[in-house]
Amino acid sequence: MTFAEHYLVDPAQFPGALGERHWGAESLTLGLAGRAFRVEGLGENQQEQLRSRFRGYCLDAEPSEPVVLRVLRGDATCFLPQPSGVWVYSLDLDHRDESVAWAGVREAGVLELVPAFSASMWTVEGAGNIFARAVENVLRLIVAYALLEAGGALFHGACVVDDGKAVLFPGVSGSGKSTSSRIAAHEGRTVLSDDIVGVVASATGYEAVALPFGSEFRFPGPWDARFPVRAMCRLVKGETILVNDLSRAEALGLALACTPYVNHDPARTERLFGNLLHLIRSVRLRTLCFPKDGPIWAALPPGAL
Amino acid sequence: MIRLGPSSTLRLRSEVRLRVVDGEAVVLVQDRAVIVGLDSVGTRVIGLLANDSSPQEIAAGIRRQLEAGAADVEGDVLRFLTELVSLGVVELVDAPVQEGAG
Repeated sequence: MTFAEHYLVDPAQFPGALGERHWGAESLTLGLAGRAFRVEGLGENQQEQLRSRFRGYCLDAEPSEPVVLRVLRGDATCFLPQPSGVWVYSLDLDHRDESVAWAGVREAGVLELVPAFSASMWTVEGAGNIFARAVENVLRLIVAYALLEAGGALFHGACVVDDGKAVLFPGVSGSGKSTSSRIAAHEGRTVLSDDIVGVVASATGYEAVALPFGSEFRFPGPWDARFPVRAMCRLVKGETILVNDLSRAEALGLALACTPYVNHDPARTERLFGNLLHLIRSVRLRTLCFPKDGPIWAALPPGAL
Repeated sequence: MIRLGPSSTLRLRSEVRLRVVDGEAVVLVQDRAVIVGLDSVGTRVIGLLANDSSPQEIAAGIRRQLEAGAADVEGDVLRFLTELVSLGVVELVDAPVQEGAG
């Protein structure tokens, strides 16, 4: 399969054929996972829309070396129409040694990884939820690479803060992330996210970082909030609460399966393996079987997770 | 499905990356988006596959390492390697045994 063949009329002409037209002259700077990201080329309405979506993560002061994301107008004639019927949507990725390109429905872009991170994205839709969602998807991708570089990882997973410590629940769709997050919130725990979690190495271990990414639950900020990671846990749906140890090999497989964007990048596999191995050697590893109606946290023995 | 013979020559595919943790391998098949976890015996099989080798040779190595009887080791290894071929972990260097042959 050729990169972007389902999304671009002529993938061989990407990105040159898409041009360099900005939507406007506005920008917005966000603090994500300990780094500053300046989104440039926005119209006023786009800036306001993103400011609203990422409230709690907007930076007033201009940092010295932000990661720049240029948002550009995509020429609709360069993109194929959205497929009809039932189809599964995922970004098409093209991993290269020094960059990664992506393409989706009426959007595409390139993240340059050297000498410093910078990205350009082209989107046909310039307003509404589709526009904001496209920008968020790209930010997720860039943050995944930024966290990898910083010794951490971006996980497809849920994260709950209990007694000031984060418990990470990596999981693919259907694993119980949303259900367990709802139960945790109902039991008074802070849910950092029910979908996407960032983890970084710290002087004392690992920390889960605030990110504005999630489905039903996304942490409102502040952008620099961090919580020491106490445990990584595989979720299993069942009838009763049961906690078991998780082997390090199982934990590595689970973590590897839940690191989107980077886990199939051949140029960065060694780094990812290294980061994940260090993480699983630093935190408690558990399997949590839980009933869909809860409770979870009130039913757990002390120190179980 | 590809049918392996006892003397087929096999090797790990170049797209495979793996780590062994506490005696168990976690295998990533980069180009197929497949992740495979192996138990300690499966990990031994992968270890014996480091150079071009046949199911017969690998079975002999497993027998030596586990001090197992000759009976079913070769059959088990053949079935396991056939599964690894279908998952994209391992590839056949020579031609496969044809279905219905022999």
